[in-house]
Amino acid sequence: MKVVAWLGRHRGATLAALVIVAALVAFRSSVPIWGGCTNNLNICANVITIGLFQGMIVALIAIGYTLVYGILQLINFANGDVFMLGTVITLIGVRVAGLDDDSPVVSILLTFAILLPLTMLITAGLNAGIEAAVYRPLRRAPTLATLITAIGMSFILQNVGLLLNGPSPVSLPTLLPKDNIIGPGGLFELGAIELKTSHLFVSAITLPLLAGLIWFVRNTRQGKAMRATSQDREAAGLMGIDVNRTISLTFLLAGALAGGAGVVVALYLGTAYWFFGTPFGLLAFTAAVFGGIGNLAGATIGGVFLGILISLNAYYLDTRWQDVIVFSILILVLVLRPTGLLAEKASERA
Amino acid sequence: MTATAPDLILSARGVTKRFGGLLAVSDVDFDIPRHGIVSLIGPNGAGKTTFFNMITGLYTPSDGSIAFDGRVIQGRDGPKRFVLSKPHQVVRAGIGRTFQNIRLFGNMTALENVLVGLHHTLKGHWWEAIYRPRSLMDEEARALARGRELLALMNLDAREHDYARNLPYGDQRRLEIARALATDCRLLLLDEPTAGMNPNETLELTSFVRGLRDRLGVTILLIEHDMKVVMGISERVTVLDHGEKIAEGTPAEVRADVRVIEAYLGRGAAGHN
Amino acid sequence: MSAATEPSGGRFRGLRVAVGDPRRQVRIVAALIVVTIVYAFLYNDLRQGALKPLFETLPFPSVNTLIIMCYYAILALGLNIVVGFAGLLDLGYVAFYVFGAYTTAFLASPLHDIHMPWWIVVWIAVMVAALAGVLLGAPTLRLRGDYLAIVTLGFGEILPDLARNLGEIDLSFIGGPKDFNLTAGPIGVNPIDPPIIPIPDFIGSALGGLGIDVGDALVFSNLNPVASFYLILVLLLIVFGVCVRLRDSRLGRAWMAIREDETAAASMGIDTVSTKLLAFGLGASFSGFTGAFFGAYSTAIFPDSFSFAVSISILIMIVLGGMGSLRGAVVGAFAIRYLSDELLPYLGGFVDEPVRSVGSALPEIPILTQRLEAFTLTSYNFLLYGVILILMMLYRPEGLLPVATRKAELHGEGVAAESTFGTADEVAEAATAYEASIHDLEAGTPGALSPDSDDERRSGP
Repeated sequence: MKVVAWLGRHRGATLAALVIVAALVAFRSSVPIWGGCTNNLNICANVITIGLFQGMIVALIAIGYTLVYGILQLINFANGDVFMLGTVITLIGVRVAGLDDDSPVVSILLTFAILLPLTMLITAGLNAGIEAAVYRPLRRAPTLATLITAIGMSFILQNVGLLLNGPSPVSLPTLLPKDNIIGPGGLFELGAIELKTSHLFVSAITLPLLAGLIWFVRNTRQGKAMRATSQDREAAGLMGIDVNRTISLTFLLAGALAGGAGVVVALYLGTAYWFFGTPFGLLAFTAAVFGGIGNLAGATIGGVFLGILISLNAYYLDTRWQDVIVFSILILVLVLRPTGLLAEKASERA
Repeated sequence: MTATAPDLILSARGVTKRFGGLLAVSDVDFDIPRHGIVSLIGPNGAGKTTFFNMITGLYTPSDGSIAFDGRVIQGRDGPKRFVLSKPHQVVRAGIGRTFQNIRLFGNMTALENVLVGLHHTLKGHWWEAIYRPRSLMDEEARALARGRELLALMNLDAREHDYARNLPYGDQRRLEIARALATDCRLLLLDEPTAGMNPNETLELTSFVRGLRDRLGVTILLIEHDMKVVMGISERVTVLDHGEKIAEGTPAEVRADVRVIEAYLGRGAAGHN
Repeated sequence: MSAATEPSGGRFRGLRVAVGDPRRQVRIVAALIVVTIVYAFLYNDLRQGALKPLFETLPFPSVNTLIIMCYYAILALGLNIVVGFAGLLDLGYVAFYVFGAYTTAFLASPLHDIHMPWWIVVWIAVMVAALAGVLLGAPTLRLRGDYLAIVTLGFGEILPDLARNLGEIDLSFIGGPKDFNLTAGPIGVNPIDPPIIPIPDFIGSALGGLGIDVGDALVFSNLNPVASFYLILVLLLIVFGVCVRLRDSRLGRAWMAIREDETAAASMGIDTVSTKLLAFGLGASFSGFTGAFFGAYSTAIFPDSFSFAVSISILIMIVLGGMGSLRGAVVGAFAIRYLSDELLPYLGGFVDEPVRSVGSALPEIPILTQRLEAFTLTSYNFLLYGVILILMMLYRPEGLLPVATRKAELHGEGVAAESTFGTADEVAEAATAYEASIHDLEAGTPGALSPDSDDERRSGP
């Protein structure tokens, strides 16, 4: 009954949704992604699975955006580039450790047991350092100023990446086995779905990080401080919360997650590229907005949704449309429902 | 919605404002006779500025209606119509205002602030600014003259080229009034115009406000905490407390009203004074 | 700190008090313009003639660079209206540039085989861009500052992407061709007809008699940079004049008021929605105008030259020069373009080699030696941009040539939207005084409603 009442209140949106669904059903095969997918559900399922894992990576970066925006109302343009530096650091670490295609699994695992936390530590420190040096002095300035500064920071980090990694994408040695766990050659088969060991690695890193962060924010004292500061900075300060420390902590966490995502991407895609920050950052930010900026679960769901969407796009349409699609979603969400699709109530004034 | 009597410039019925769970203004009826000076008083948080903001369109009434010159400008108009006027539309209808916390354009000069007030009275098209036809230049000259007139009225003519944020506090308050007058309003809403003024300035302002009504025919609605002012120039006083109207009448009536005294001083204070 | 001088009379009658003596400034600028005109005319001769060694050792700008500086100045003036006057952060200004350039490409090139003269096409491009500005702005201008920034960023990315991807559109589902070519796709449109003024025969032969061969038309393309420079210089001066007039008008005051305090502006009768849309649309039209010039002058356009980088570089120009300042926009544009196009390559000529040899000489350090050996100064252009942005925002947010008032506004003095007027201390003091008076009343001093109680209370700031 509540659903019906909700639909009744949002008549316009419901009508639009019904029209879209009707069109999808009627013109099934000619609608770009929908047609291809419904034609062969098995393959589609596989495409979606791949997208799911990509989405988890995006979610890690998206959480960084949403955390920082929640606490400072700042869109930290540089977050995507911190992620990019994570990939570059991973590359350097792999080189330094002397890993290559033939390295034994043990040495790979050992290296990453050190490299993952190390990278995350570096990116966390970098992010917090940026906040202290550049964003904090501008905390009383109009938001225009901090936004412009974030853009400037993004450029600087990109150039650092350029300096460290060179102008072209650099490949890492193949370190993740690509054997199927589910699918041909694996333990069992499930339609056309192929779950590889590499996917397992991805989830082995991303899931604990995601879960850990959400647990931290919900259950620890510092997490509560973060939530309080997001809601009302002055009141939090008056209640005895060290606002500067809390904000630093937020940036540390966002940076660490971005670094973790960087390690995962370097392993999974096998590439480090100074320009990575832009497409991933855009995806992640759209995911954060989609799920409701400031909303952690929303950022995660948004990340997964977008990961699946671009996977579908890459397979059924063409990667050249990816940016247009993602930006269009971003614009539509911001214009039509700025609080995000998953938020419960829209705010009073834009 | 009952027809407004011909001598009422503003008529509000059942005006209510809810902010989520907070009932800021509750079912307030309020009339302002044309050419009158009316005060709206009450303890802090009583809902007075919220009421102002509903008149001028900054807030949307949750219920009720506000009619200006017989026409509903906010709220219910008949069983199926809910009118919402935006702030600039309210100004163009003839209502001007000042703010409780002065909201001048700090980085513009005093004269420019007043010229902004004149904005909607000027009819030149924006593209004419590029080639500057005679008609536009004449209008600008007239606007400048009018602006200077208004500044002189408030004794601010010497400050014409000073940036608003550099003006002394009292001058800023008067500049805000000059700017509001520039909008050519018939009803002027003054939100605590004497806040922060010393007794001399207060006296000056009070007689000035009376002069506005006497000479220019402007109806005045005042939010005030300074009881001297309230008692001194108001013809009618309405008292709000916790969003509700608790008393209304002449200054003398309201002053003696038990509920009003209690609202300000707490229960049991009625015996004092 | 009060305003400087009374406004000087005569042609500079107006309310904005000029910073410094305006007559002297105009004389300086006029002199500079004359110098540049002569410089452009003599450039080729100077470069190859007696001053050749001078030209080879010092980074004198080429005429082409001068042209780029000028049309970026127009872009900066346009963005200045949106960001500096009206306070709307637009990160996707390049979108309208794309509209202008591609409209010109559609109407004056072999792409769709339409060849209208540029002097007409440019107005169509301006209107298309203005229309785009209004259509894009209408639903988005009511968003908060940072959301608006992101949305405009989106536009700035989608438009070039569409230009890149609409070279092959499958229109079969409505019975059209399978690869309809709208924008020529990634290869761009080449050639585009440049602006042309046909030279009547009698002038041609008259000048021919004097020994000057002008051909049968004056072509303003990159093959004829000197004439093109004069054209764009004239256009820049006209645009600057238009901006001055707009700034000093009723509309300019409305923009300033909105930037200062949008709610108060609305409460004074300004229709903020229309006024903001006007700023956005006008800014867009400047961008479209420049796109039309750029396309025709370069006689070719490629989707890859339109990017977020372009939008940001224009933003940097007005941040450097001073948001809201017309001179600042122009100077900022000149400075940034000169830096990127002339100065950095020039310095690179000195710095690249030494750094590279240092790289070769050093023992092999994993990343460092590789980067040093391949060092090119110009590839760190954006690092410089980033540093400029951050330094400006931290230490001089009002810009290098600020509007006098902006400096104070950004350094924490003055009125910011939505905030209480007066310093925090003043407000606290007033509040405390009032509180105290309430307590006095409860203790039995004259009641709140008595006319005599006020003398002790009000001691305002």
